[in-house]
Amino acid sequence: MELDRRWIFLLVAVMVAVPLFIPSNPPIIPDRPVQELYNFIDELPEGTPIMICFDYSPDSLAELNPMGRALVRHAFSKNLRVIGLALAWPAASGLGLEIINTTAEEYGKVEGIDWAYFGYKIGYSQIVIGMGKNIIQTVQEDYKGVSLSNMEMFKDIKNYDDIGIVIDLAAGGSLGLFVTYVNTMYNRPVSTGVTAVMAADYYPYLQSGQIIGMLNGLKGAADYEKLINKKDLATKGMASQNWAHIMIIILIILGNISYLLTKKQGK
Amino acid sequence: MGFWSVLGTLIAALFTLAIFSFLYKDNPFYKAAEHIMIGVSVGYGLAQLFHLGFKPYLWNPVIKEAQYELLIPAAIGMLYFGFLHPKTRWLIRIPIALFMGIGSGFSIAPSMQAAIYTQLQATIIPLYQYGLTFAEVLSNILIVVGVFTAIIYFFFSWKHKGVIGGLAKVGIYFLMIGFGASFGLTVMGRISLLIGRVIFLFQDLPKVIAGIF
Repeated sequence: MELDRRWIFLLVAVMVAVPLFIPSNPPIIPDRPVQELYNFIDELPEGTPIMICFDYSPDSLAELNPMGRALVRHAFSKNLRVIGLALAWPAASGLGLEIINTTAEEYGKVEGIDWAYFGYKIGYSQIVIGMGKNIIQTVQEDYKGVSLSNMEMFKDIKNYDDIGIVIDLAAGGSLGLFVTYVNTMYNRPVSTGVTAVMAADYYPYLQSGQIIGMLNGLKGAADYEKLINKKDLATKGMASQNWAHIMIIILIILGNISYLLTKKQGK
Repeated sequence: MGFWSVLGTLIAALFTLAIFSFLYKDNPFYKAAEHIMIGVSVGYGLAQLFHLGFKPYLWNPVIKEAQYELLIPAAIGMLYFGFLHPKTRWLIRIPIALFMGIGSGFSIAPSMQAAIYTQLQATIIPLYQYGLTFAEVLSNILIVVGVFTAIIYFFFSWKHKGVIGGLAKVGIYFLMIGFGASFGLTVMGRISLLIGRVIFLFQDLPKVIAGIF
């Protein structure tokens, strides 16, 4: 039986859109890796800086923006300082800034004291390696061209030794760089939030203890929103995600039945 | 919301719809959106490279601070343009060799440690130990058996017959489960991206339009 695939596209669109208009509260049970990262950040002493690297472009923001926002909210709510930067994608520069800036306003945090944003920095691995020796010398200026050496925030921050954890929000293979240099070379804690597509590649790092926890796709972001008790976009999308998955499972079963029947008829 | 933010949101909505129109069939709106997206991405990337790379690392130091020694690596970098002519194409070997040498020097030792030694270490785990839960024991067994049999599958010096063949077959099952998990996560990721766009179209956009009126 031939089915025009556009019917499937329409069905997926309906299954994703309709739950957004129907108030529902699907249960969200945080995965262990998400809980591990939450616990680690939660236990950092007040004032500890954390570094978040926004390594994604706008096509992945649906998954990674909610993670970034939830992490920054958690950090600011615990009075941790936040350093943001983008290394892999030039277009990520604005995404990270928007998240940190708006969340800082939400929590009344001051730029240069409670947070700093470097923007997009060219050099990738050289920047990651250099920051392990001296962040101010390597990065020099923030996204507005303000010298880091003039910022109050960097008076007690020299290199990764002064950073509580480095988190890479990755849509590609950038995490490998952080594991190789920040964790292996400088022996500092690393974690990640990744697109679901990439997650399978990174579980070995989790199992070996090279990364502390992991946020996996929109579900990981929703888990984190649940843990910080601040429902946002990821939580909103979970009902749609559930229904779309149910529909895909049904379609896979129907497709296989159809295949088996066609095969039987052929014999 | 400011004028430019409203305009930006409306343009984003139009382009989202133009791209989605491909799901019905290929059309000029999709083509235009695709080409504009590629052009804007490349243009944005080039502008960023110019302002964040070329100017602060080469132009300003040479022109304003007279650091003329930087012209040497710049000249080596320019050899990449040798690719444009068949007679000078060989010149690109020089910057590539330098780049590979420096990159390898920096990365081989930590990469070996991060991707091989530590990963190997993580498979040397107790199959059973007092105090481990059933799930942990099962997990450890799966890790050890999975790694061992998958490596056997990629060991081509012996024919996959007999015991080796059997172990390789178990390895294939582990690989298939891995691919299945990867595919499932890919589906989840794609649905998440669609959810992001649908939330934008049905919830964010109406608010912006309502704000205009």
